[in-house]
Amino acid sequence: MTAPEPSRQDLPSRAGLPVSGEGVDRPEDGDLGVPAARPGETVEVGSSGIVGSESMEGILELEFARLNRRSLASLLRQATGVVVPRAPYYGVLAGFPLPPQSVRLWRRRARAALRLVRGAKSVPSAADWISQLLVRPVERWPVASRLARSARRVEDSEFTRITQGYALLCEGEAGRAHNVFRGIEGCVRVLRHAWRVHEGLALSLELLGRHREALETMETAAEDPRRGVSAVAEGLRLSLLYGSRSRARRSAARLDMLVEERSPAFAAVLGRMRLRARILGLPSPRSAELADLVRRLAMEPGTPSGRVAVLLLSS
Amino acid sequence: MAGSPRRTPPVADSGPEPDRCLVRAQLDRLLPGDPYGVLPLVRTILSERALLLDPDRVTLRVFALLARSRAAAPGIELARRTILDAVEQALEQLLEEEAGDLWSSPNRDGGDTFSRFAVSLGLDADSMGEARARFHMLDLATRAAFLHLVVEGRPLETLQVGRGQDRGVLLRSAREALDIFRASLSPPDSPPSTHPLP
Repeated sequence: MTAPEPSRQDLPSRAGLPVSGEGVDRPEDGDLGVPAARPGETVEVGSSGIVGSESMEGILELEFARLNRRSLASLLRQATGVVVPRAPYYGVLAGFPLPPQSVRLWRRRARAALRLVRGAKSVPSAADWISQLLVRPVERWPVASRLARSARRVEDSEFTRITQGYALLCEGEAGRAHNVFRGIEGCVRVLRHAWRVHEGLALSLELLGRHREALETMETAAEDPRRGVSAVAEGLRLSLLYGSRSRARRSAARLDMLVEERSPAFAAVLGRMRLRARILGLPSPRSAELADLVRRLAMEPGTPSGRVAVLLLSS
Repeated sequence: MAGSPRRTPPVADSGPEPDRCLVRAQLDRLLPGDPYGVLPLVRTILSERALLLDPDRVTLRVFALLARSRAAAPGIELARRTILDAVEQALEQLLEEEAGDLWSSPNRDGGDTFSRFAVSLGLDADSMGEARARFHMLDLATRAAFLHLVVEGRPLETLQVGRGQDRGVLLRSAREALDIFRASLSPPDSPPSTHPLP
């Protein structure tokens, strides 16, 4: 899905991108006060086994409470997928980790989930808030990052944090996105989508002008066995702009080996890079050596690395 | 349903969600005496997948998932496939949650059997929890080798290997898995201890 191209008058130049610096993610007015997830909703079970246990009622209530939280957090997370295409930098800076969501389907799922959780003690505020979203026209929904933050307050998980970080990137809030990704970076050893964290962090660092760190971080994403195409392609782009010739050559070889030139995922990444270049401008490689490598790679426009190089030459 | 080649959709997401009274009613059918053999099934799958999860905890989650989904179709007999899908879904959820719990609930004293075990030995439940989460990120062959050699103390010769696998390589992998737990037990500067791995 291609984001509608914002006019140059609506967006600041790249230098003036609404970078909020190393700011803290502060509560905002109008935050509907979704309570944070209760810590450690784990279940006490007897070592003799659970079947027939007299404490079954209480134990299972905890499990239902956990499932309710999952359900509502998932709904709020999906709600971000409904509104995020409206964000000014959607489809520009990073690929959002959720596909676009249909509001009609969302409403159906929300009604179904609310029938189940209504009356449950553990998530009254979240359920009320989703009820409000159901009756509001989608044009009056909060922005994606607010929805994502509320999802995270219901269930603080890898997925809600990553969604929040990318929502902030789509809104151009590089500083706040950086804080979200940095907050989860320490746990990458146990994350199933660690590459997403590194990719998001790298993109926010680049926007904050910390190019060398951005390159190192994106390399970490690109080296992750579970990485997506975007990390590998963005890794090459950053190498060609801010790295060394040898590193950029390795990045190019990796991209050509791992990515099919005609893959839809790669096409989507290139589309974002082009849009970003048009809206925000495109820097030049930091050295003559890198500029020469870009020209050489661009001589083979049929390869993935060649296509990235052609794009960089268009600056 | 039995023998149907089509995968059952995630149990808690199938069809219109019922209200809570129906869910409770389904629970009353599922629980007493575990008529569908959920707990033994969970133990078997945890063993096959070499996962260090509390079987009671997993079973509870399965019951909760089944109760929610069955309330939407109370008259239909519960199929084996549905129970298996619920177990898969429970495992996926709990593995996700174990990582999330590490940063969302620091300094827990632990609520599941594994954490209580760690705490009873004077160990930090969060460190052990992280070690377990990292262990679960390893591939199945490594996890299985670790459980076989380290936890069960069986000889290397009895370790089953798949096509293309090498016992020596699996032994090394098991040592790496052991290092994950050692790191959570030892102070940072302590020398590595030996372990009677073959």
